[in-house]
Amino acid sequence: MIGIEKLSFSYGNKTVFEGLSLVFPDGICCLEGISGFGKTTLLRLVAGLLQPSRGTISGVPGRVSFMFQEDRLLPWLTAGENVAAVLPRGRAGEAARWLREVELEDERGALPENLSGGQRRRVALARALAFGGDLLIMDEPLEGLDPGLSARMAALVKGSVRNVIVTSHSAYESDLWGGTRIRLA
Amino acid sequence: MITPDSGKKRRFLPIGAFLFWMAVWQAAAMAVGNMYILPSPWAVLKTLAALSSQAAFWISVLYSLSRILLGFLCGVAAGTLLAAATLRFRAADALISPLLRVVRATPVASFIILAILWIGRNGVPAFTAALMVTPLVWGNVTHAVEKTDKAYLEMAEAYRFGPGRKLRLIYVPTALPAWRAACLTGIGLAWKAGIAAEVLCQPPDAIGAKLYYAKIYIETPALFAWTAVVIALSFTIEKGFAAVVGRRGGG
Repeated sequence: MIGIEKLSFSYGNKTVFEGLSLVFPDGICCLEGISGFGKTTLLRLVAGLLQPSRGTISGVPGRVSFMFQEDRLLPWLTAGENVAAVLPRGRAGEAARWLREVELEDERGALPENLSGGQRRRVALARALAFGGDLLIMDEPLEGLDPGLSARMAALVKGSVRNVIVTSHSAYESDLWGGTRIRLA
Repeated sequence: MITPDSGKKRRFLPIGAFLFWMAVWQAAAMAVGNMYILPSPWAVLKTLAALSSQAAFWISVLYSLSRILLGFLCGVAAGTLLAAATLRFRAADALISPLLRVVRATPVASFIILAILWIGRNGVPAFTAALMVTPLVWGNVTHAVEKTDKAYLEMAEAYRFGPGRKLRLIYVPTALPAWRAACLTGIGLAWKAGIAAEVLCQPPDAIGAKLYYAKIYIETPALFAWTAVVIALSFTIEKGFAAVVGRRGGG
């Protein structure tokens, strides 16, 4: 369980959160809310990529995997190399397995520029899953995927990681993820 | 509309342009009528053929090429290492950056004259070539690394990349295109500055020295012939180097 207590955060003069308190229970947590309400900022705060100006975040496990809203694949590396980049030196071979899991085995040698938006999203997902950890944070991971693929990817995540915090901006996606729904408004 | 014919025409265009300028040169030489002021292309070609039939010609070419290339390689190595040092250590940045900016702004002739006094004439061409290339490589690499995409760095932080992995997977690929561009520009600069240094310090058997003596003895066809050699070598080096370092594009 991750507890957020009286959290405040601003980007310069723009206040994003003021005294926010909430709890992410174990299991799947689906963070809902319209664009601009700070879902991405909250995820980055939980992951430790941003520091709150006030308040505390407790219960975050030591190893957190993060799937960004943008793919952030290194354009000079192939799909396989991008996944292998987050693996320890001796386990780089596991990249192929994760690409197979996201149905991109044949694209292992392709550069990101030669992949479609949905394929890049799945490589980013494979990378996040390959990194492992006790918590997987995902920012709109199903963006650009068709309904069938979205369902299979959501099932893959649920079968691979116990604790997940994921953002969603549609009821359909929230239904796919299941678990606890938290609305940011 | 692009047709096979227009492709053929495009291939012949440079040859046509070359022949046009040769004709202009020939006409100008005939108008001047004095080979000591402007020799004809034919006279230059004959001189070049005569020069290239001698072993001394090839020794000069090899001598100048090897020394200037050595200076170029030293400049690339120094520029790369200094870029790494200034990016990594604040103190190194404070010490080295102003110095390299001064080097970049100083006329090459000043360095050539000073180098003749400091290291003797044999080492001057390589020293000058290195001095031309070092600030160029340093500037390009530091600028590129400073502009590294913050999104990639945040991704590296999220996935806990160590310093080595960050260097290998983000900084080096980010800096590589700028490093290549600096090398491609630098090879031409090094060659021209190296030959200029040879003209000023006249190391024995160097192309620059041959140019200098051709000027002293008013052997204008030889002056043109050696200049043609410099231009041809410059093209060859630049093209050759581009083929080597430009083999893999992008990062």
